Amino acid sequence: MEAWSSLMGGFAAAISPYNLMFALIGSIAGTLVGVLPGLGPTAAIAMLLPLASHLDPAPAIIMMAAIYYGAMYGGSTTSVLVNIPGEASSVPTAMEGYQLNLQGRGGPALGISAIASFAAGTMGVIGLTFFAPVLARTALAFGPPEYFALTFLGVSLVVSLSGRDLGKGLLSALVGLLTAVIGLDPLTGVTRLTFGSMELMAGIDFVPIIMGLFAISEILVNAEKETKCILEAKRIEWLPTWQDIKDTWAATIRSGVIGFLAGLIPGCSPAVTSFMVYDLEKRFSKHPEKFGHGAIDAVAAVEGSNNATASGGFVPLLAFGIPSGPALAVLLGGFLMYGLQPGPRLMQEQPALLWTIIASMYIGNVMLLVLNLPLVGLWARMALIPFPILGPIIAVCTLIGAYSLRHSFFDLWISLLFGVIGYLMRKFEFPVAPMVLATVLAKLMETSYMQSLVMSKGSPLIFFTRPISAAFILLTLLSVASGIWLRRQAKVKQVELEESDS
Amino acid sequence: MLKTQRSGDIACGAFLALLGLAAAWASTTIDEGAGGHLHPRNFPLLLGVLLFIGGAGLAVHALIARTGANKAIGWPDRRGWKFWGIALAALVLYVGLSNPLGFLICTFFFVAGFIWYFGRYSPIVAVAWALGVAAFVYVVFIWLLDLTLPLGPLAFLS
Repeated sequence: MEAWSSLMGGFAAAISPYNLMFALIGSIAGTLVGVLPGLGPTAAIAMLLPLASHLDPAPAIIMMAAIYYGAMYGGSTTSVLVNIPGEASSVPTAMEGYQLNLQGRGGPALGISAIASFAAGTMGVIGLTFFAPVLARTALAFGPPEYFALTFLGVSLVVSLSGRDLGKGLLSALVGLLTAVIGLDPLTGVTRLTFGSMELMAGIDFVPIIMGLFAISEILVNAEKETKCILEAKRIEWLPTWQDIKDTWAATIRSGVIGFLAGLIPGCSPAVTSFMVYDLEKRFSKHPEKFGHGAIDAVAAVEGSNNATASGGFVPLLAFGIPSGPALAVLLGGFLMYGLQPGPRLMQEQPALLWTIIASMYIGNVMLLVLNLPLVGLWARMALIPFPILGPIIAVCTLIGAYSLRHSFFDLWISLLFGVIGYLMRKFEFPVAPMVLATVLAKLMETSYMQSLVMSKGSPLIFFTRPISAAFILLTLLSVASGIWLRRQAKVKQVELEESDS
Repeated sequence: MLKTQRSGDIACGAFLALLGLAAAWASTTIDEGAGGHLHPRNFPLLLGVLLFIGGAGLAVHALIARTGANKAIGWPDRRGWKFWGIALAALVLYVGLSNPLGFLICTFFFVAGFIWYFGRYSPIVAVAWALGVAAFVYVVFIWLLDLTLPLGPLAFLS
């Protein structure tokens, strides 16, 4: 009950027009950087830090937090409309949402992702409000062995992401892992596979790879086909129906819970969560055959989990001052700028400020829903722009986005190279998702493996003697085994179908 | 050449096997670092070997089992290749010239050229769109988001 009355106090402060205004500015800025591919909340918060220093702590932090969770709303837009996931965590959204868009259901896909983002995001904030003190300890239970076991589980998803051909999926993942080891060894700093190139020493970032695999190869495919308009469907729906909401609410709630729990773990990439909920929904779904051809419940699950993860990330941040990702690290910088050190002491000394921020997150999520839903129809109409006009706009926005990450032209060449690779992968029927997953996970996987061995003085038994890590490894084995079993089942069914056809 | 998925699998498998071999060979020259329990070369070496085995497996499987022998790869026709090549060349020029000329000028020419060539719009329409997109880039990326982008001769705008 104490949390309840504190929250009410927080609301009273958060709805002052001044604080509301900054929540709105943050929401709009967050949506904008979320929509633009390559640009993320990290850069946006960092750019606004000097501006925020003129404000009081409450409105400044409310605004920066709103940018952070607001960016999660915008992430689905380009994925659905033009098959460009702005970040790794939106890749499954692009896989399903873009198919829906081609079928004339881009509007419902965007609407559902806004609704799922709101519902799961709000669930995350509820978790933050009432369970933060209890759950905060999980953040501390995660050491290198647990991270390794978690990434191991992540990589096992390749089995279900491989589409028809498991062998090609595994090869695609191997190439992804190989790309990610280029650069400096994470523990000893030795250069690996750089062939003396300075650019390669910094490693190959996964964002330009994703931009290439999706956006650039999409442009090449459409150029060769002389596409006049991406949207060829006769019947176009602009907004989700009640039936869509009914079809997706269960997926939204599941993803909200999983996303929030994953958000508690600092350093756990949101991409792991979104691929995990995607895989889970495929198993729960009444129509798994729709996956890969436009499953709207997958869109809801993935977008929902992104937002719940964003809210969950505030638990370790506020409880211990541990940022769970780069964007929250910059936000932590925002706290420190005011001499506030998030952690147990801040909870005792400045409870009013913390509760105002938490209350503002409820309001911010409502604002984002109100802001995003009317935009859905407008965004969806973007798909009507003829390809010869839309194509170069996509290229310009993606390439500038990819450049802005590290201010490197080398990254742009990487984008183009992977554009051609992505094009060839489509032609030779290699699935792209395993490669993305592998490039995203490789660094964390190798680093945590090496750190674990340092902890255990070289014994790999450490992964099996720690309960959380052992549980993840067991879960990985189960996931791989059941994935292969499901594959067999699907194959038997297909053969039966083909036989009955002939 | 490479008309069916079978021949595609053989070619891809062989290429990936060679890539794996090259990676494995390159990994053997990686220096030993200090402090780790694992040699920095182990992971890339393992990946190279796995890629070699997997790639060779794919190629051999396609050779023997003749999977995908009657499934054609959807390559474009001559006209399609021409458009493909021009789109790629335009992208390469865009990236290559963005450093000396700056993103705004390159965006203008890239967008105008693309719309004019692929959409068969009149040059006026193409130029109007290109001006609009360049203005959008300026307002959103440079003015609102305050990114430092190379602008070439237009550097005074930043």
